[in-house]
Amino acid sequence: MFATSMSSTFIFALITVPSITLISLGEALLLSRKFRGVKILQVLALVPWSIPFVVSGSVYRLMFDFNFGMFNDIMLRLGLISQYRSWFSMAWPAMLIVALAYLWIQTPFPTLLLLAGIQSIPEELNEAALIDGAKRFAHFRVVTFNWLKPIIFIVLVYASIMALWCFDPIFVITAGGPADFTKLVTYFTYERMFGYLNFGEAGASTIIILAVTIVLIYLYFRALRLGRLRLRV
Amino acid sequence: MVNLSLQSEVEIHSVPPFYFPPYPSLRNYWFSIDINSAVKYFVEQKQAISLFIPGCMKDFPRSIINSAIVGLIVASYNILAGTLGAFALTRITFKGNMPLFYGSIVGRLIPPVVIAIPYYMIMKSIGLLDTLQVVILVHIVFTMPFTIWILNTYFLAIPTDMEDAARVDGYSYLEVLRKITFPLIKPAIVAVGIMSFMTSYGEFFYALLLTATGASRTIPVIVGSAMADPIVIKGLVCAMGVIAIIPGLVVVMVFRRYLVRGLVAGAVK
Repeated sequence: MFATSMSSTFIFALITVPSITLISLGEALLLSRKFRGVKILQVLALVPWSIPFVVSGSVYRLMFDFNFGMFNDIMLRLGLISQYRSWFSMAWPAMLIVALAYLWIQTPFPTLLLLAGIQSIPEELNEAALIDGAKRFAHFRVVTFNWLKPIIFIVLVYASIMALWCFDPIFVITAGGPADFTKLVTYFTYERMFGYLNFGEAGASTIIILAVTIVLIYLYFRALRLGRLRLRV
Repeated sequence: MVNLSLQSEVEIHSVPPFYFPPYPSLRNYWFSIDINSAVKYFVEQKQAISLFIPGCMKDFPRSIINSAIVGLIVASYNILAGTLGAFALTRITFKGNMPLFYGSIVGRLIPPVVIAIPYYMIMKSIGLLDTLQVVILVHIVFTMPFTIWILNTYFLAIPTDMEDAARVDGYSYLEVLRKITFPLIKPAIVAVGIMSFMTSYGEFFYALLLTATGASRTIPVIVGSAMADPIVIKGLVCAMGVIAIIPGLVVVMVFRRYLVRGLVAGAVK
């Protein structure tokens, strides 16, 4: 049903958008410090972006496989589960695995954006905070976070738009998931279009996706304008 | 995945799984390129898995060539048309300047599903449905807005004094672009070419929709189809996946500085 598909997409967006923002923020903070080997880590952080989505989906599907996946084996040895479990036939684990396969590829881009933002903080602000005796969290809250606010807004809206795009991991990993749980609107439309050949229903769902997307695009342009104004200061 | 691709079929299915291949062999790579030897090998070993090799895998070598051709053509077209387009949009003022630019960005941000049905109908009526050209066309449509956006940002950041002086001296627009602006934007052009190549390389949805036979399929479609089968031959699929990652890794490793500069300038400003 289309309503469950919309709710699944909403849940997916709720899972991925904060995750992308938090993970990329943390990673950018880590990568902005100067320690030995940070250059190598910066390159490694960019690597997942070059992988096609289907390959990432395949890796996670094989890792969480029921009979011989590595995840089952590690959990068994750690003692967390008592026997192998089929993760893809449970609702929430399937959604989380699809989100994981999707996040692995989407995180480098916001990480780079935030890293560039952190590196563009003028030194005077950092020094002023240091002179005023700010501890680490206060330093982060006052200097870094305020400077990065427009970029974080851009990242949030960009992640929301991209969450609507997600098609490949679903196709490879779950093909709709247990009882249509991971069937996002993109996969739903594809299934109606090329599985059931029901072009009418597929077309109708695309119009609804379009409506949501237009709202998000408008937000995106607002975010860009805010970002441009702020960074010019 | 590299681990799985080096194991043989019997070893993959053992429980608990091996973390390092006990007897590594490059057999799976050879099988994924030459599927007949795979069938022969499995039949010799009297394994039932010889019946379950998905038919789409016989197109894998062809799909590597297809992906390479499509990616290179899309990247070069992006560089050429993107530079010209961004130059025109920023330096030359004509009516409908900015709305054209914003409209192309909107075209990029719409999920591909939305426009998929009309694309299919149009391509079917033109008759291009199973060829390589249609994949190239669709990938160009997908990568051009981002290209023009990034190059726009770069062009706006370059002061126009030298170009105005050259125009006064009598250069035409094309000569100004070639002789004066081009050396300044070389890093951006490299970044744009690489970004469009990577986007076209990983594009799955339209390549799946618009191609039917192996004559024009690209790598993600083959890997995805082999993976979405009910019975998955893990060794072969993993070998195909590793082969699929290698160009991306190489490109990112070699060109990382340009990529960082291009990505950052594109979406922040």
